Amino acid sequence: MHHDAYDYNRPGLYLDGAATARPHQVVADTVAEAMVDLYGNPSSLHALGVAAETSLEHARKSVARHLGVDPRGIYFNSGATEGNNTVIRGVAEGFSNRGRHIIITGVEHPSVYEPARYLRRQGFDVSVALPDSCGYVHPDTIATLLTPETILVSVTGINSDVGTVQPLNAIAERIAQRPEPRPVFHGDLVQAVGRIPVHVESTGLDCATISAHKVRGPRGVGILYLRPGLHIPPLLIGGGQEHGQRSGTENVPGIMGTALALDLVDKQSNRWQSHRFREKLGKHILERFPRAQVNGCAPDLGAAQVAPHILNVSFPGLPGEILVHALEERGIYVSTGTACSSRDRKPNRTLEAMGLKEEVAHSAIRISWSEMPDDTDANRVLEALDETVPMLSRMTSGRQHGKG
Amino acid sequence: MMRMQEDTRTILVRYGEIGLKGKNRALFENRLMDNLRAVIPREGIGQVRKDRGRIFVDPAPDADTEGLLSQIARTFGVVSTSPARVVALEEDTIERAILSEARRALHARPNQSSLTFKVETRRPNKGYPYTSPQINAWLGAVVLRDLGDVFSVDVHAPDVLLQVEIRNHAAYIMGHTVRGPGGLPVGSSGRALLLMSGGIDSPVAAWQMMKRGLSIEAIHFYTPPFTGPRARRKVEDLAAALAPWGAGFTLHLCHFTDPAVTLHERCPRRLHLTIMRRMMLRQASALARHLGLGALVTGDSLGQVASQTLENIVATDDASRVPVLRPLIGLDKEEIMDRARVADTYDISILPHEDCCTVFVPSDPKTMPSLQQVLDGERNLPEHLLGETVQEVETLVFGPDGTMSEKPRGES
Repeated sequence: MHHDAYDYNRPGLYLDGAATARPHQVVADTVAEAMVDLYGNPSSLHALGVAAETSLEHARKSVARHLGVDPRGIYFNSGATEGNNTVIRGVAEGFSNRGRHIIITGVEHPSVYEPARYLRRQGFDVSVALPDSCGYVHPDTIATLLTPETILVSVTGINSDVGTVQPLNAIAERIAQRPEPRPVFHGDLVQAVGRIPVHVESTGLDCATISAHKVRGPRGVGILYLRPGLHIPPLLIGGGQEHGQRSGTENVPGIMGTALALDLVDKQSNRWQSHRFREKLGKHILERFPRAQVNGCAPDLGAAQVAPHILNVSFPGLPGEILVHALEERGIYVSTGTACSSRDRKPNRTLEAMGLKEEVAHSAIRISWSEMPDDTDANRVLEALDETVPMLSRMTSGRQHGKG
Repeated sequence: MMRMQEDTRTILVRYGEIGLKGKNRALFENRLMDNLRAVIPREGIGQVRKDRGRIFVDPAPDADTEGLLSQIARTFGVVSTSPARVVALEEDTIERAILSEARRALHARPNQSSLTFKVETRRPNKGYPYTSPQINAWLGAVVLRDLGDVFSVDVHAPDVLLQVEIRNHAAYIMGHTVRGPGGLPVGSSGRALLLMSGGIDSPVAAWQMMKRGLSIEAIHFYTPPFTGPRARRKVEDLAAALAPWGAGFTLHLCHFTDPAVTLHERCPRRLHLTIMRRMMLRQASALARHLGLGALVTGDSLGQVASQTLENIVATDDASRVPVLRPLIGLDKEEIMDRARVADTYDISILPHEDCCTVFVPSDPKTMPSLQQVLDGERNLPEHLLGETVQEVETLVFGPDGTMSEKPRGES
């Protein structure tokens, strides 16, 4: 290998934005300042408490405006893993007298999938709506699974592995056609916020979950939206903060940073939502590497069906993990799958559900971004792939995949 | 009159095997004392000294004796260790000390309302007026007199063994003994170089050889991008876990991608594994000779995987110019895993990070190559991969507490 040819002093190119995003400097500054200045507990009766409470409620309104919902439905928590657990376990607990059937899809994040699996062990009936080979879950697939027993339908807005946009509006319509009482409809909007226009209420979602760090906000802050009037038991019980829905002293600095990050998404949505980089990079990869394939959807597929910030591509025969490290040597940071699951060697659940051959699934890498890369970046990726893919493929061709 | 002064305390260390080594004995004892000084944090220790077949670790005034005891009990060469009260050779102070130890033993077992005991005496001080059996009888009677409602005698399998050593200037009274690992003090048998992967076996091989007194350094071959940074971190963590056993640990990291790629391009596929092992042994042997280390150590267990057949062992040994020690050769996987748990390396070893062997293993490696076939298979390798050239390594040094004590010396 020609290590000497590479300039190690080149700045890194972070293309793992679907795993987490580099926070805006102004967000970090806002959080740091609020930690020092607004340290009062919003529940305190004195002026410091009131100042913190004022900032908290201001942030709540701002976030609600961004999501197109009533601020009374906004509850701050620690992130979407907590939010998804709250919704799935909470609906099961609160609505089990109405039925014991829930529906998720085959392209969900582990923080949806695992709570659902937990409920199955508790005796609930869990249906998994399978996607097509693009990772798209057809509304009719959901519709055929609905029964009078169904209490929850949980669907991701954008799948985090391949970036397929799910038809939340159409699924909401199918659910609305059911006779009352209808199941609760939950959207995991972690990847969707900022990447596609999100108006939670008009989409017909009863609840939604979001993590701030995916939109260049602080780590450890999330948003749970519950349609006003929808009551589910809280996961954490204690001091009764967030109207009892989420006890624990409010993370006012983090919440202010979250509101600011969402404001910045609004201001930059044209750039965030551009498909140009994805299309260009995808097309060039397919041109240069005849055996490569883009997982999810064709690179030029319209904005309605694919996220602008995720490109999942396989170089069959070359384990994705090796390519990730080879690109890393060249300062380019990508991932093999959802970062949380890429440390165990099980095949990626989404790619499996899409029916990809094991060899293709095992060789997938995910290129994703939270700050729009430019043409220079695209060329840098292509150049690095040129340097690595042919040689590495030769090295690994005699090897059994999926072992080790 | 009883003196109300607090007893002096020390920790008595017993060592067995090294006591048998005749004229080398002082050397071994000094090595064990050095190792004890190394593993015990400076603030915990007053003095380490020896006296007539025993080593004494005097704790610093505020030291955590239990912590010291468990560290001493993990030092190779130590057979057992006991905290001891050091009292004057006067009858009343000895009686008071044995009763204190008996009460302490009782408090340590809050759920038991009756205990059996036995007094066992050693008397290196032959000038003391009573014989060992006389002392046993006397002090046994004292315990029965004052604590007879709880204690009764059992000379065969007592719950509590009260030990007394009558030495020249003092009596040592003990009621609590922790077993050590035995073996020989690390460094007393020489130095060797371990071939360390990230797996379960090689750290155990290091541990076994340390137990026989070898001071171990390790070489790890890493092959980015076929292995990632977490695989390297895992090997560093294993080195840190071995460091307390070895009174420190040195790890050499060898960037091995170019040799591996060359091998892949120039040698027959089914021999890749054997030739890869040979290249590693050749490299390790060159480094060992360069550093003055007398042997290589590997974690091979006969027949466990394709590279560990007798034929492959013959073929790989041929590439080393120093002897290759294989302390696990006759152990089953289960036995190796049990020892890994004792050595505290198991939980690190089972983390799922790919090592270079699993990447480069062909699906059908040749399990019984003849040496001639292997030599023919290596024909096309360039000179620097066949000779004794020492490749550049990055060296990390871990202190006895497992923290990295030096920054990398070289870059790969």
